[in-house]
Amino acid sequence: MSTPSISPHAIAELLQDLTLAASFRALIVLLVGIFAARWVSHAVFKACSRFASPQQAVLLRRAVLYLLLLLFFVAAIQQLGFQLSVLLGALSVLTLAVGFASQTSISNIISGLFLIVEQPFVIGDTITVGDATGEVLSIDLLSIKLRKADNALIRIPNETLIKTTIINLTRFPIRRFDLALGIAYKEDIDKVRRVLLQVAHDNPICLETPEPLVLLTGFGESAVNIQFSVWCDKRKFVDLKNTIQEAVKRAFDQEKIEIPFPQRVVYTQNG
Amino acid sequence: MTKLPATMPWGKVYTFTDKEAQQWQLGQLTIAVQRLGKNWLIGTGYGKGALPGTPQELAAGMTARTFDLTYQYLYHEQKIPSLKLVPIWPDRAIILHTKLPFYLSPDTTAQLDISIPVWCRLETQDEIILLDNLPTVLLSETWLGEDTCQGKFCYAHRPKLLQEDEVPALWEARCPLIVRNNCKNVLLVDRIEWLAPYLGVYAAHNQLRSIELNIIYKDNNAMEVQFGKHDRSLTLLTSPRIPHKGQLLASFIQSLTKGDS
Repeated sequence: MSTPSISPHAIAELLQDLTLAASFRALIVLLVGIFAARWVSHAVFKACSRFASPQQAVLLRRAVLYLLLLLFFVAAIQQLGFQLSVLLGALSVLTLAVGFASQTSISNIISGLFLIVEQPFVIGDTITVGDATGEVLSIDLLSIKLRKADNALIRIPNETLIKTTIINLTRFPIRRFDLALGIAYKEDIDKVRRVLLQVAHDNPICLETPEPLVLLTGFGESAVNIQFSVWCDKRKFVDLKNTIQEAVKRAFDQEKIEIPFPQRVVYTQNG
Repeated sequence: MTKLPATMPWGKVYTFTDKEAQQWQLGQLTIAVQRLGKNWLIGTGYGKGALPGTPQELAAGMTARTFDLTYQYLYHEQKIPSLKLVPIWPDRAIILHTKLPFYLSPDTTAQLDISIPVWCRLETQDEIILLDNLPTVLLSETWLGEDTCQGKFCYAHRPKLLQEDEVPALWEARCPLIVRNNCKNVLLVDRIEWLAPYLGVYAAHNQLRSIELNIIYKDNNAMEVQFGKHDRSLTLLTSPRIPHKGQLLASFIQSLTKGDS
């Protein structure tokens, strides 16, 4: 009885065919996975957008996307004949190494999650963080992106946001504009108050309620310091800031109210 | 059917020949319109003073755009020879501020006729809107809410009380307001919310009108608003921006008054 003989060459060809077929299957799984993950995450995003905030919807979309991609990636690896248990073992070692190396990133991710839950601001708000003021373009896992008024982009790591003070300028529908003024000591304060309130009344952007305020804030070296505060729709803040200052200057010129500049009297001693 | 006097521009159809220009002055608002074939050149401005009186000077100035107005073109596929001016209430509620503190005794009803400026809408004859939202008088904005965090934007107005035989200006409407105090205490009425978007503009007795608005103040800061029915002497010129179903519309309106014990 003779056993059939298989040549080493035939075995090599068979293995090569099997590897090619497995690679092809893995590629198909991966491609289908990418397509499915994108489609499902987009559907989840659309569904969530109805009841969740934009950043929550974005976060959920990304979570679904990355989870599905991971699942399909594992399935593709399995098609290539890798043992999942061996892979997981290797991954745990790798995770440990990566974890030590990327503490900042993980800190940013956790900070990002806290920001999304706490919601001190949402996409579209104008915030001030440190010296930077801008409109929030996106809230990502690692950082937020702000667009400054001059169209420059600022990236702020989430960890920084958790540690620092954030001023949200557009959280509420109305905002107050405070104008610090100095008037000469000789001026009649009642007249100045009347003129300023008239300026506020004549400006249609300036809200009637809450009422404009004129406060005497102190006595400076060269001027009586006054704070003139007016409220407006937050969307018209820049317009108000511009028009009210122009109007105050015009009204003061017209009423001959002096805005003094610092003066110093120097006496010279003869002889 | 009540007709408005010939001097009033509201609802009248103005026909334009090609390159003809016409102008209107309504309150603070100046409107100048010129037809240029299928284009309408529309110039608007506030407090800019009178434009030249002769049609020729007006047409020449419009073409050269020498007047201090804000200009815009509207192109329409068909040559439309005419347009009309329609009065419409503002898109937000108006907060009426009383000039002096106004107290109302318990179980008392006060009936007031006040004048409120309307907005102007330019329409072509077949009601294709050319230009919307032109206040005849620029009212200041105001905030109505419990605090500075929650509330809504309104317009502020200090209305003029009208005598029975007094006719309001062309750009103002006579608005009957009935305020009833059903509280146990004297009521200080310092602001009243005029629900402009829920009201239509009517014509009657040579003037613009609105239907009656009944505001009934009750104890515990409760309030009820009732829209009066329009009688036959009123001719509807413009429907409300937001249709209302019945008489009551008070659940979301905050009380603007204080009980004075």
